[in-house]
Amino acid sequence: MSQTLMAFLAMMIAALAAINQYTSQMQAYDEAYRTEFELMANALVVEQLEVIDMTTDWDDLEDWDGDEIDAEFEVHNGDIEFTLAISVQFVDDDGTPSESETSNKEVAIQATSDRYTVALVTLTRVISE
Amino acid sequence: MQFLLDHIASILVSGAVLLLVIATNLNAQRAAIEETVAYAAKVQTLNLADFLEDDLLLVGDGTDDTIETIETNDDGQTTEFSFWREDEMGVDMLVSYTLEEGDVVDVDGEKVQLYRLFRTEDDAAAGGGSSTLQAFSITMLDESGSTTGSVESARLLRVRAINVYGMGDADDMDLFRSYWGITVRPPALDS
Repeated sequence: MSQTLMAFLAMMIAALAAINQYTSQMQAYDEAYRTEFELMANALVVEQLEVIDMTTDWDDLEDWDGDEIDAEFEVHNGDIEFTLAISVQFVDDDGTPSESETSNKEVAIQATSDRYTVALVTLTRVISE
Repeated sequence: MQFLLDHIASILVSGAVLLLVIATNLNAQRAAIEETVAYAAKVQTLNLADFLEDDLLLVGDGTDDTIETIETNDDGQTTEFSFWREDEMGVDMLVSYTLEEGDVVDVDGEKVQLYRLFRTEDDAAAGGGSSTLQAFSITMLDESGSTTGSVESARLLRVRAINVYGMGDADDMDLFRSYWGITVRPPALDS
């Protein structure tokens, strides 16, 4: 009886070690995968910030506030889709959000993907009058 | 033989445990190698990215001309991109990036063409790029972010690259693809 229990215990320990190893391997894969998505999202956000900066008068920056844009990053076998959420707010000279109007507006773009519940990248740029 | 029959249960149990332990150990080793390869690919990609970003921001820096050549092949790869900038002595210099075909690797029966990126300054080699690129492209964008073929209307440069690393034996290889992209706004293209 005790031998059977010892054998069962040995198999349990070996199985737990295997499960633990596979779990940590999957977590490592997930992390590597996520960093790839973050890099792609970063590229799209930077490009959108540049376009907003170039094409929009300072007075009209608020027009972008609340906009959501679908953007695609081309990969070797198709496109990966991201959603870029744009917000615009006044900030003071230190970059602190301000309730009153100032001469600085902060444009923030947050990139999300359907594959992840948490935002991948958020970049901001302060544009002065 | 009698000994084996007497201890068949314990032999089966110890064999199963041993197999599990060996399989787990081999898998852990493989995972560690894969993580190292992935990390190396990522570091190499980001190093190339840093260099390219800094270099492309200097397009037309201190010179009358900006982008000299931009050529793309049928696969959408940028095979040549050259631009003018000042060197450290204040003299105009032509910087060129050329993409040349390198090794072809076989991955699961699929032939994957790899490319090497060369960089020259006035036709003299000046820093090489990655030799494990699967894709590389530089696209000119106008003010609205749309693709343009005109240097005069170009305001942004969109760069995309895929760096690949092989893992495993030659006849059973997996490819790790590291994607990178950036859009830069060289100040000289605004004027």
